[in-house]
Amino acid sequence: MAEMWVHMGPQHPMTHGLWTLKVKIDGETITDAIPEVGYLHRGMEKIMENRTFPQNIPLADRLCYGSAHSWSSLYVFAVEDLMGVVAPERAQYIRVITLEIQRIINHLLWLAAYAADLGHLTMFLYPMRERELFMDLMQMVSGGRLMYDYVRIGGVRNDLPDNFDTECLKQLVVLEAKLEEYEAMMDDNEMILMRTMGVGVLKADDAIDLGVTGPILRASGIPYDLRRAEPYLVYDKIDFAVCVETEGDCYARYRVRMNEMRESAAIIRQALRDMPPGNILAQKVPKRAEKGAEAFTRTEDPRGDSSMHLIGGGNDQPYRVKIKSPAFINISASPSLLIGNRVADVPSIMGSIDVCIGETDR
Amino acid sequence: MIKDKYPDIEGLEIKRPRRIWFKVKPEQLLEVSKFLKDELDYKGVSLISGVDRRTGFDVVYMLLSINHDPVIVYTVSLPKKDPSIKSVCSIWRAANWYEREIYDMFGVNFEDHPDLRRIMLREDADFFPLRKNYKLNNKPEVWEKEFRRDM
Repeated sequence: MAEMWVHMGPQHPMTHGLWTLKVKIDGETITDAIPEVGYLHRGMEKIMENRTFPQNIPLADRLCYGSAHSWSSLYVFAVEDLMGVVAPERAQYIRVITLEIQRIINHLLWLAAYAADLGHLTMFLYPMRERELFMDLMQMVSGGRLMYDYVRIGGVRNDLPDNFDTECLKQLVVLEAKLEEYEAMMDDNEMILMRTMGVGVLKADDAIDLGVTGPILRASGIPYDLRRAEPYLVYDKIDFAVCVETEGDCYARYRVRMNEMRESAAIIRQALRDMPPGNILAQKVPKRAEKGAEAFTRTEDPRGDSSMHLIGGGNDQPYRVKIKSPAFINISASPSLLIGNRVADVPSIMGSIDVCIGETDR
Repeated sequence: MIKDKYPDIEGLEIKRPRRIWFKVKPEQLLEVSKFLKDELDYKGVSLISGVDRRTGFDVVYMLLSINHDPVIVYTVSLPKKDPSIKSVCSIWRAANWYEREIYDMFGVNFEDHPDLRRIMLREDADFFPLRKNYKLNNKPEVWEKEFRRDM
């Protein structure tokens, strides 16, 4: 049969944002694919070079609507690395708690959107409902629901409110009960299983060579989590499991994310228990970075390994900010996932990557 | 170990825990990269970044290994006029989009790159936004004309 190119996007329900996927099809089978990004390019890196270090924190929030807090945190970690500032221990625990709440928020958003992608529209409502609870928690802490602007160079903006730990523990109990409900809704659904199992398989060797990170890499059987491989904050004092699946298909990626939410809940519990009293901001924070100082900081974002390469210019502005977005490199790997599958599987495969165009195009 | 194999490598230092920094000459790039991948098990690219140093351009490679801790960071310095370097796409497939982005933002040419096109900007853009001589309020002339015509 004759081969033809089908353009999916930039306006397509599968894309979750503005980008194009060109797929070459032979009948129903995908033989080639070319992703095109850049529709949402705002020149973030250039803007950051022209603003002072603290001014960039709310800007870094705007990289991704799904996990804003993890991006402003990454930026702040990189600046602290550059300037040699160490945040007080209480601030580090607060960061761990808020980052894990952010991970739960992001994964619940992903679960809702992915279920809707697969045609399970009822499932869209329930994770969104529980996501509200965690957004309420973040609102208690920071005042914002999507963009928090909560971390500061050398600590966090304000301490946790008095009733935070009781509220937080309450919501975690709700989440853990609901997670079982979601699993029942997903795993007992023949349609979901047919559309995810054995679809979009990525082998471990390919995954490393293509540079994919995060849940996709772990679903291919490689237990690589930066919270364990390169512990930042106080993750080395916290006991948690790295969630791994071996199949490497869409279903494995869904399993990894579900288990990660459970681990996040366990991390939050431990952090709330072990959190010491004390300061939340470092006493002395320099305004300028040394000329030529370089930092390369990596954190485990909900989507994978997000890193920042920061160079100081001797004044109060960064000389160069390079943002590595996990979604960027995961999209670039998508042809390897797609080739050999059916056209109808495209939403299932691309949805399992958890695309965020805000951080991809920057 | 890297020092043993390539004694003329400059600036090898461990600035922070888990980071090894050094400089590589452009003509040595492919050889050193292959050595790191095959002998030292650095099978993944974490990031390839570009820097405009005003006197020239730097391309910075960050490599990660699933089995070892430290990240290897090495820099290749290029001249200001017609910067060009060999592509490492044949060694790590992950390098493809990073190199396209550096080409897009800095105008560094990557030889033997399989698909060297602009990635973020339009194909007809005639400027490189992350170069230091491009100021934020610069408006690309071609696009301005188009905009006025459409208005």
